[in-house]
Amino acid sequence: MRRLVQRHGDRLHALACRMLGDASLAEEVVQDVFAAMARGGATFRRDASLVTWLHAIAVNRCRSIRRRRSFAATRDAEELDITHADPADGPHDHLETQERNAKLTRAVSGLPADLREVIVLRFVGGRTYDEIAQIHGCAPGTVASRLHRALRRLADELGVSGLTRESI
Amino acid sequence: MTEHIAEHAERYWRRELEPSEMHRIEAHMAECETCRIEIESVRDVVSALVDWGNVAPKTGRDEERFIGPGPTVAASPWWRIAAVAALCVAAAAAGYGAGVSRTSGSGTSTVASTTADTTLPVFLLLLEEAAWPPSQPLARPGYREWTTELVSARRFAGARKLTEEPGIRVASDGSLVPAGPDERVQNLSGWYLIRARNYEEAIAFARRGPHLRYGSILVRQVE
Repeated sequence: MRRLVQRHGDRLHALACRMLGDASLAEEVVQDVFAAMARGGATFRRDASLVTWLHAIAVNRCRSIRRRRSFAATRDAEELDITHADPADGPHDHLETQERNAKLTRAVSGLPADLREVIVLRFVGGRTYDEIAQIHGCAPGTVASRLHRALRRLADELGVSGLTRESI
Repeated sequence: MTEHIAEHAERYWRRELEPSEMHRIEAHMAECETCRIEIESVRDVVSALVDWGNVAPKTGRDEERFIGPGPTVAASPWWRIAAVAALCVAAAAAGYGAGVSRTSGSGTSTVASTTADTTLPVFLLLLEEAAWPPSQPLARPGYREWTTELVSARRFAGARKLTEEPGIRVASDGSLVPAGPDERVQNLSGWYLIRARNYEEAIAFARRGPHLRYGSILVRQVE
């Protein structure tokens, strides 16, 4: 059981952070995920990946929190972007990476919830299209469509703000 | 057809499609300008999101903030302890034995464990310039290696470069005093935050960096 927490806790925490923009709430989400797993282990469908199941619980928990709270999408979002220094970077590259990530965080936080979830599940959670489809209860083609729409919106927004590689 | 092809763009740029599918898309892009533009429009943001997704967000108790005391004892996130306890109790009661299936993900890697040792005090290293404006551009060699050393030693807690304009000093009476090139007080080009056991260690790290070639370093412990 300890291995499950060690193996998946950080990623689930990162996912919840990106969905909620609040690191403290993300900690609560992760605790809830593993507590729900402990309670509901008997209901786990072995045809579904355990990891997918954990992510689905995390997504549902995040949705509940968002519904309950008046949520400023970008609140604390930028504070989440601490970048562990890439040894190949000097302090100036490190700064550029932090600024780029902060812009992305703001932009992702501003997406509609369904598009934001797909982005976070894909790029933070590392889920496949099939797994995201299971979590969202939709077809993989729908996931692909949502993901592309999200990417286009981000590209359009960030292209204006100067994030794209040509301008860095 | 355009919509369908474009929806493969993310996996195309991340090289997650079968070779035959990659070739099919490339062949179509060669013939269809609309699709090519659509697919290329998301290339950079996909790359940026891959990097972004690998960044570990700060925890609520992260001690790398510039303001705020660090802990005296390293502690696991409280949710780990609670989660493991909950799982152990449940496992003992229900004989739960679900295995973990490793899914094929996006190929993103977890962030390496190079976070600073949060049991140690924080020191601010102010990088002072002997001459202002700087005689050499602030993008100088040597900082990368210095940062690498600090990261490897789990001492690096942050760094920022300041702009090359001198800034403005607010005097005690509220008046503004431009910090010009003839200012006798040292001007600053940036700062580092590091973890160190004591002043001696912080000073040792300061001496090993490149900055002393260009100016001095003021070392102060953060309360």
